[in-house]
Formats: sequence, structure tokens, C-alpha cells
Amino acid sequence: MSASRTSTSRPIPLWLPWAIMAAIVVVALAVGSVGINEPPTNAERVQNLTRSIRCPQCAGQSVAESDVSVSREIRRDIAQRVEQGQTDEEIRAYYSSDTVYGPDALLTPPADGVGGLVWVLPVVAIALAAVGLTLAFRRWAASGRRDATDEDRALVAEALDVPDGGTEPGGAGRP
Amino acid sequence: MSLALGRAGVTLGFIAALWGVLSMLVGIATHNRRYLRVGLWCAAGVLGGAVLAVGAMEWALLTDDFTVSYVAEHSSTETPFPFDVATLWAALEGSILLWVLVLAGFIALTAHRFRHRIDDPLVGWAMVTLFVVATFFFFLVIGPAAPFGSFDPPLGYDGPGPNPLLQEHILMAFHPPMLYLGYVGFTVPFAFAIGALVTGRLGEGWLLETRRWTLVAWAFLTAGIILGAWWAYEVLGWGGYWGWDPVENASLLPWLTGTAYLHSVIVQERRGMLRVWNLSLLCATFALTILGTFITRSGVLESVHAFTTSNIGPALLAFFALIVVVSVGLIGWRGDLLRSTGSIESPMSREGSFLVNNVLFAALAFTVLLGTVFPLVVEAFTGDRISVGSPFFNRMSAPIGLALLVLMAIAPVLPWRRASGELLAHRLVWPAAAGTATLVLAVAVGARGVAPLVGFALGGFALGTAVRQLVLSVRRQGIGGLFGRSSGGMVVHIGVVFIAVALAASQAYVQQTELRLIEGQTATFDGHTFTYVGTNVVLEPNREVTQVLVEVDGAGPYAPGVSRFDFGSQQVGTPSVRVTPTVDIALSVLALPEAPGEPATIRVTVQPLIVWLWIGGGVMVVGTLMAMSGGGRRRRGAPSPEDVASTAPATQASGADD
Repeated sequence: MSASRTSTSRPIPLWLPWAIMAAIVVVALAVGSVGINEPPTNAERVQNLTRSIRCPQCAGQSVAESDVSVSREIRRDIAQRVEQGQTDEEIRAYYSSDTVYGPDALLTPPADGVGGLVWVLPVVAIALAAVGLTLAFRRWAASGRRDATDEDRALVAEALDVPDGGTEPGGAGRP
Repeated sequence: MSLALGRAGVTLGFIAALWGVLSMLVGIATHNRRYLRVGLWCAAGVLGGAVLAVGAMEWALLTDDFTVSYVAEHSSTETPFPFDVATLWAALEGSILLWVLVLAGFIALTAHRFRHRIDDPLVGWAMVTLFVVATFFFFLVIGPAAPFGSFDPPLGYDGPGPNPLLQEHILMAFHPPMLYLGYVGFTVPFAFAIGALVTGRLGEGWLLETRRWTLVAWAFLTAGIILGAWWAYEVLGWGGYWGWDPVENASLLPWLTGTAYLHSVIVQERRGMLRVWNLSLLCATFALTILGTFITRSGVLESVHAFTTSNIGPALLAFFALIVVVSVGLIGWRGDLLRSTGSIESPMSREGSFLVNNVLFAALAFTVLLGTVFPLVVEAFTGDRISVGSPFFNRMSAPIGLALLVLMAIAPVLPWRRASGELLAHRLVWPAAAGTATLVLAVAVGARGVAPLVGFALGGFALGTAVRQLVLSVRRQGIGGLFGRSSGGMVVHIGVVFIAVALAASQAYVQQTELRLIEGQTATFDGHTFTYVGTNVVLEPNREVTQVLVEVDGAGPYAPGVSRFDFGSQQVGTPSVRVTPTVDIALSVLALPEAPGEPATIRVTVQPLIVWLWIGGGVMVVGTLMAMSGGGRRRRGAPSPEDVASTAPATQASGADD
């Protein structure tokens, strides 16, 4: 937070509570992240795997959500494979192979090839929007025009059918 | 009888809607008030036709009149009340009929509300737009999705009844109508946006006219989505509430753009900016409701909500294309008049934060839309079949959700135009303290993991900010300060925080397992004990429910079951949930004991804070109602010089409130 400046008019400097809170947050997050890097248990792995594999008979549900018998079979099979020591990747690769259920068995699209677009496009969109917004703010700041022209005021007044909002507290906050 | 009445109703509605379009157009072109007044009567005709049609359908459903094809295909003599009433929206044709009724209601309300200003071209063009939409939907129920087909039932015929899943829970009687009230409600602001574009009166007048309509639509859509999640949780038995199913996404998309609009419209009202953007958002919201209906009702995407494949797809797609072409064309045509008249100096300002809010909501909407249609697009271009499911949506939406929480924590205290760091540091001290305290509390009760903890901390921060704004408002204006748009908005934020925290907690800490128990046996999972104490069979007119009685931590018994319906072989699970403010334990039966003494398999889902999803949804709706009431809004609805003078000092006061 941008609270490094002190306020001379106050008995307690403004940055102090922020510094204390920052310290507490760091400590709390440190405590809260202890032990989360332990490898997942088998049960957790089964839970994650069943949620990422599509139920072949139902519409858009994962095998974790579905109650049809084939989903139950797959759940049992995944649990067995995890017990046998197969990795998550091996299990996913097995189910998405063309001889089993095909690539659309995975609810997470592959990161490579055409499927990767679905991961990349939103990020690109957000990045473009951020750049556009930054440029817009730059342009607005550079234009230096903080007030509407008289013509604009007339337009606004006409549209609103009220006297122009010159009473806005715009002047107060300006440097 | 019902068949004839129903057909008469849809025909009447269709003719009235078409007549309304023509009469309004002639009236606007010739400035002849008489044609415009005919338009008002057409609105009554549209409502009358829709009420007649829906009334006839409900009567047919209640009396099991199988000469009506929809009743024969989707109802049964054994469907109990109120599910026979709800059968109206249990399948495609009936749900379009419900859409027609809701639309007709909104048209009649609009006509009534603006009856004295019908010769205002802006209102006139809005009515034209509404009648065009109505004509389209009446066309659907006459042609491609006709519920009133004739059927000749053989002696002793009984229908299959609605999908068993839809007969499980009373929420099904409320969730679709709420959702439709929301979807269809956005037609009214859309119609006024079109009216403003056509007449070139792009000032802020039309916004003020439609503000309350937009809020009503938004509140219903919010309630509909939350009720849908609740229904899924109570009925589907997988322990979840949101599966990123295409239909769920289709309801979320207009909600996202609508929410973005509700925020950015404030910038336009205050600063006269973002006109193109706001019009685009409204048009997009309406277009997305139609696109969503196309995606989910045409059978192009698989979905648990998909009704049987139908042939309304091309019609909906064509209508969607028409909306997009007309909207884009009008906005392009009026581009010169939409020039914005101000500038946003700093991102650290109220208007700057609204812009960031809009970028985030638009990004989320884009991501959800992309993920939903991506499999279709890929298959169309490459022939490959891929799936995009909840793991993708969860991973992509979580960071955007956290960013929105940051914004909710900071933006409400920002003044217009520009804020200094010092001002922010001062105003945000107590909210930040609330966030810190939430974090410490979460860690103390054992919550672990950086992402959920950050979510909780930001939730507490945003909650603190909302409460701060409410406290200041009450201090300034007394208890009346709780009403009006800004305070109502803060109450909505509190509801959103409840939901965000519940989402973070349930996603991060859900525990699920399958237990195989024989009668009398006890198992322990996640610190809870589960004892299978017996089996129970409940006979109902239309089904037989076999319940597995399970005591949880010695309390209960809870009775998850499996229903066998007389028609069809589908067995439907009926979960049972132990609800507490801190943790929900959901039980559902995966397999009944094959013989007495054999084990039953039950699925156990332990999820924290679920109940706060529903509470948060309720708070959001209450907050929207509070935003709609109150003096501030009405005063702005009909501004007079005196009012403008009196709101300005109040703004100044809020800008320097501490």
C-alpha cells in the first residue's frame, strides 16, 4: 500500500498501523502455508483426477460428479491405478488415448496445439485491455483538459435538462 | 378445450405483437397519436394472449389433458402438485411459453408506465423493439417450438411425466421463473437503449428511465442463478453447486455483463462518459441471453440442462445475428453523437476504478464464453473433439475473482476524479484491519493454503469497506442512509463477500469419499462418524423412495435415498444434507444394499461454509431492493435545479468525510 508518507498532523503516524498489519499478514500467510507443499495423499489425488476426467455417458459432468455406473467403474479404476503407483499424467494419458475414451475425456484442454488457445486468449485479452487502459489514462492525463468545453456543457445540460453540473467538487481535489 | 384456448392465446399474442410493431412504426412516422395509442392496446393484447396461452397450458397440465402434445409428452396423471404446475418449464416448448409470458408482462408494464409519454419517439422506438422481440418469441411458440400440438391419446394413455430430476425439490418451482424474469427483464433497458440510439437522444435521460428496470432484472437473475446452484446442491447429489455446465455459463454471461453495466453506468451519469461502452454492454447483455438460449436449447452443446434436440436453433441464431447487426450498426451510425465529453485523470479515482471493474468483468465474461463455445469451434475447424470443463473455469476465474475482491475493498472509498495515497491509507485503515483480523482468525481455526487465505483476507477487507461506507452513510443521514443506490450497493457487496468466502472455502477444503457400510457399522471420515442404522421405504404416488438411514456424529438419522419412478427406468438419488453455519455434510446413496445385510455405498461430502452461498445470495437481493428504494434515487430520477444543488454539497461532504 502507498502508505509510506507520514502525516505530521496526527499523533500516530499513518504508516504505523499499515506496517503492523503488513507484518501480521506476512506472518499469518507464512504460518498458513506451512505443510502445504507436502505431496498430496492418494485420496486427494483420486479426488483431483476424478474431477478432471469426463463422464463418457453424461453431458459435461466429471466422473466425480456423475452417478452412472461407468463413472463408478472409472472412479474405482482410478483409485486402483493410484494405489498401483501410476502417476497422474499416466492415468490421464491412459483415459485420453484414442483406444479408450479419446482426447475429449479430459476436462482440462491440453496446453499445446489448438487447445492451448483457450488458455492463452483470455490472458492476451486481459493484457490488451490493461495496455489499452494505461494508454487511455496517459492520453487523458496528457490532454490536460479537465473541464468540458462550453459546447459540451450545453450538450450535457440539454440532455440532462438541468443546469450544468459546475457544482461538482472538481476543483477541490486538484493539485 | 385447452388446446383451442392455448392456440387462440398464442395466435392473439402473435397478431398483437406484430400489429404493435406496425402501429407504432406508423404512429412514429406520421406523428399520429391514434396509432401510438393502438400500440398501447397491442401491449394489452400481447399480455392477454400470453396469459391465455399459459393459463390454458397450466389447466391442461393440472387436468392431465393429453390432447395437448406438450402435456402428453411431459406430464403424467401421477405428477404431484406443485410439480405439475412447474412442468410448464420442464421442457423446451413450455419454457419458451414461460419466456413469452414474462416478456408480455414486462411489455405491458412498460406500456403502462410510459402510457402518457407514448408520443415521445424514444419511448415509441423502445416499444417497437419490445414488440419485435415479442413477435419473435410468439413465432417460436407457433412454429418451431409449438407446445400446443394436437395428440390423440389412446384409451388409458398416461404420459411419462417430467424429468425425474425436476420432481425432486420445490426449488425447481422457483429457479426457472426467477431466471427468466432476469433474462427477459434486460429486454426493457435494451429496448430503451435502441430507442436512444434511433432517436439520437443519447443523453443520460434514458439511463435514468431504465435504472430501476435494470436493477429488477439483475436482482431476479442473481436470485435465479443462486437458486439454481442451491437446487443442484440439494438434488444432484455430487456435493457441488456449480459445474460450469453450458447452461450455467449461459446464465452467468448476461449476469457478468449486466453487473459491469450497473457499475459503469454510474460513470456516465456523473461524468457523461463511457456512452458507447454502456450501450454496448446493454446490447451485449441482451444478445447474450439469446445466445445462451441458442447454445443451450438448440442441442449444439451437451448439457445436463439440454432438452431434447429441437429445431429452434436456426431461428435463435438468426435472431441473435439480427440483434448484433442492429446494435453494432446503430452504435456505429451514432458514433459522432456518442463522443465522450470528459476525461478520467487518474486510475486512482472512483471512475478509474469503475473502468478497471469493467475490464475485469468483461475479461471474465470473455473467458466463460470462450470456454463454453471453444469445443464447438475447435471441432468445426479441426474436427478434433476436446472438452473444456470445471478445472479450466476454476483456474481462470479464481485470479479474476481475487482481483475483483481487491477492487471491492478499495474502490468504494475512492473519491471522484483523484485520490492521494494518504487519503486512501487513512480511509482504508479500519477495513484493512478487518481483513487482517479475518486472516488471523482463518489461520487460527486451521485454514491453510495461500490462495484461500488471500481470499479470506480480501473478503474481510472488502466487508470492512462496505461496512465503513454504510456506517458513514447512517451517521450522515440516519437510518434512511441505508437506502438508496450507494448504500444498497454496499449491502450487495456484503452478499458478494459472503459468496466469495464460501466459494474459496468450499473449493479449497472440500473432502469427499465413498463409504461402504453394512447395517450397524460405523465409519469415520474427516473427523465425523457415520453409522448406517437402517433402511426405510417410502411410497409416494409417483415413485418409491428407498432411504438409507445414516447417523452423523450420533445425530440424525439423515435419510439419503434413491427414487424409482413409475415411468422410465431412471433412478434418481435424493441427497440429504446436514447444514450448519460452519460446515455442510452431504450424503447421497451410490448403491443400495443388494440384499438385507449387504453393504450400502454412500458418498460423503464435507464442505465448509456452504450455507453462506445462499445467505449471500439473499443479502444480494435485499441489497438490490434497498438500492431501488430510498430518496436519493428518486430525486435523481427527476432532477430539478434545486436537487442538483442539494446533491452536490452532499457529494462534497462524502468526498471529505474524514
